[in-house]
Amino acid sequence: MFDNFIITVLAILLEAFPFVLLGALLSGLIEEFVSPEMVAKYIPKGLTGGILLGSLGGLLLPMCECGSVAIVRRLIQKGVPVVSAITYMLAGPIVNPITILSTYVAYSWYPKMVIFRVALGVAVASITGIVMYLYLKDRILKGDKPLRLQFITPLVHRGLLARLNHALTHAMQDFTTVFTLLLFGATVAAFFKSFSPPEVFLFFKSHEWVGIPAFALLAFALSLCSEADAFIASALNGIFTIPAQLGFLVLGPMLDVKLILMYRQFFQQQALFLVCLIPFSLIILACLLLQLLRS
Amino acid sequence: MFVRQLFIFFGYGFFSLYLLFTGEVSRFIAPSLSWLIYFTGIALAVFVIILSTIQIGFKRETLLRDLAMGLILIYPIVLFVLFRPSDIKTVNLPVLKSLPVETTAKDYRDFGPLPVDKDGYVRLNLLELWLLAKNYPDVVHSNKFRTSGMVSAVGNDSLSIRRLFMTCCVADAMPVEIDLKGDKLNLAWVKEGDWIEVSGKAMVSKQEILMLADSVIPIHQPKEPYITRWGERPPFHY
Repeated sequence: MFDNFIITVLAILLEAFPFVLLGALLSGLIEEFVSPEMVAKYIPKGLTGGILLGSLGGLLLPMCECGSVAIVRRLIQKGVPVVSAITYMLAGPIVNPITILSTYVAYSWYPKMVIFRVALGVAVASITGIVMYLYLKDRILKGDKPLRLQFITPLVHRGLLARLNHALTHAMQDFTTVFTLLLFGATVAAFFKSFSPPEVFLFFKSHEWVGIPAFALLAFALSLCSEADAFIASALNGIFTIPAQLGFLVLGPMLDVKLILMYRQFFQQQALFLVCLIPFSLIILACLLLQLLRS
Repeated sequence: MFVRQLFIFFGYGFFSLYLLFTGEVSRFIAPSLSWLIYFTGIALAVFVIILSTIQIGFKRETLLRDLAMGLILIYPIVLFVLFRPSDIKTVNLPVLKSLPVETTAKDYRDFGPLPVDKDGYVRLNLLELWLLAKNYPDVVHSNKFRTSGMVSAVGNDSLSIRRLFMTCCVADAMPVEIDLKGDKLNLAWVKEGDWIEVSGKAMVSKQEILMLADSVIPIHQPKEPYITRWGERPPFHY
C-alpha cells in the first residue's frame, strides 16, 4: 500500500504539472499586460449582456479562482455591473481554457464531464450573480480597504523585456503557491485511495447520496486550483459517483477555505453569506438531481 | 521563496527527465500522455534559467527553514528514491464485476477482425476480453481465448487473474478480473502475484467470464504493466 501511495502521488503531480505551469504563465502575462480598466471598458452594462460576458469572461481573461477574486473587486470599483463581476468571479475559473483542457485530459474516459462542468458552473454563477444584483444592488464590497493580494498591480511604462521578466517572476510565485496546494491535495487523495479500508469505498458505493456532499466538502477542505483539481477527482473515480465528482469540480473553484478567506477580505457580510450559500445549495441540488436521473 | 522554488524546479525537472530517459514514464501515466512530461521538463528548465538571472536573494536566518520546506515540497521524489516502489499490483477498490458504462465507449469492432493465433485461440488482453464479453457475450461464450494477467486469488482448482487499466495515470487505475477453472491441470505451482498466460474456453454468464483453462503457463510481468484505454495502443498490444 505504501508503494501505491508513492506512485499515486507522483502520478497525480506529473499529470497536473503542465496545466498548473500553463495557468501560472498565463496568469503572469495577464497580471503584467492586462489591466482591470481595460476590461471594464468593454463590458456591457445591461443584464443579459453582463451575464453573457461574465459567464464567458473566463475564455477572454483566464484566471484561476485566486486571481479572479482580486480582479473582481477592481472591476466592481471601475463600474462593471455586479452581476457581470460576480458571474465572472464564479464561472471564470471553470470557463478557463486551461481548466477545460485539464478536465478533458483527466476525464478522457468520460469527456461529457467537460460539458457538465462548464454548464453547471455557468448556470450556478449566473444565478448567483442575478440574485446578488437583485438583492444587494451595490452593497457588495467592503469600504476602501487596501488590496492585500499580489495579483493586481498598476501597469507601468517599462521596457518589454522588463515587463516579461516581471510576468515570469509573478508566474513562478503563482506556480509555487498553487503547487503547494496541489501537493497537499494529491497527498490526501493518494492517502485516501491507498490506505482506506475497502469498507469505506463500499460505504460510498452503497450510499451514493452521501458521496455528493462528502466529496463537495472534500473540495472545500482541499482548496485545490481549478486547473489541477480534475486529476484529483478523476483519481477517486470508482469511489465517488459521476454526480459527486461533478459537485467536486464545480464547487471547488467557487467555494473553499482559501476563497472564503479572500471573500471575507472583500465582501460585506450579506454578500459573503450569499456568495457561499447560493453556489453550495445549487450545486448540491443539481448533483442530487443528476444522481436521481442516473439511478 | 527562492530556495523552495529551486527545490521544486530542479527536483521535478530532473525527475521528469529521468522518467523520459529510462522509459519509466509508463509506470505513472499513459504512454500517449508523455508529451505532458516533455512540456513540464522544458518549462521547469526555463524557470530555472530565469530564476538564475533575476536578483532574488535568500536570508541566512531562514535558510534552514527554507531547506526543510523545499524537502517537503519534493517529498514524493525523496520517497521514490529511498524506497523504489514497485508497480501498483492492485488498488484498494472493490474489484469490478461490472464495468462502468463510461469505459465502454469503444469496442473491438473498431479494430477489425479478432486475431486468432495458430492454435485457434483469440488472443486478447484481459480488458478487451472483458469488454467484449460485456458488449457481445455471444461472441465470447464457448469460444477459445488466450489472455494473461496477475494471479489475484488461488483456490483448489480455480484461480482469478487481474489486470489494472488506466485512462490517464495510475491514480485512476481500476482492476478488472476474471475467474478460471482448470480441473485437469496441476495448478499447485501457481501463487498470488505470479503472472500467467491462460488459454481456454470462455463461458459468459451475467456479464461475468469464467475461463475453462486448457493450459496455464508462467510468464514475465509485461514491460508496460497497465492496460490503457482502447485506441491508446494498437489493438491487443498488451
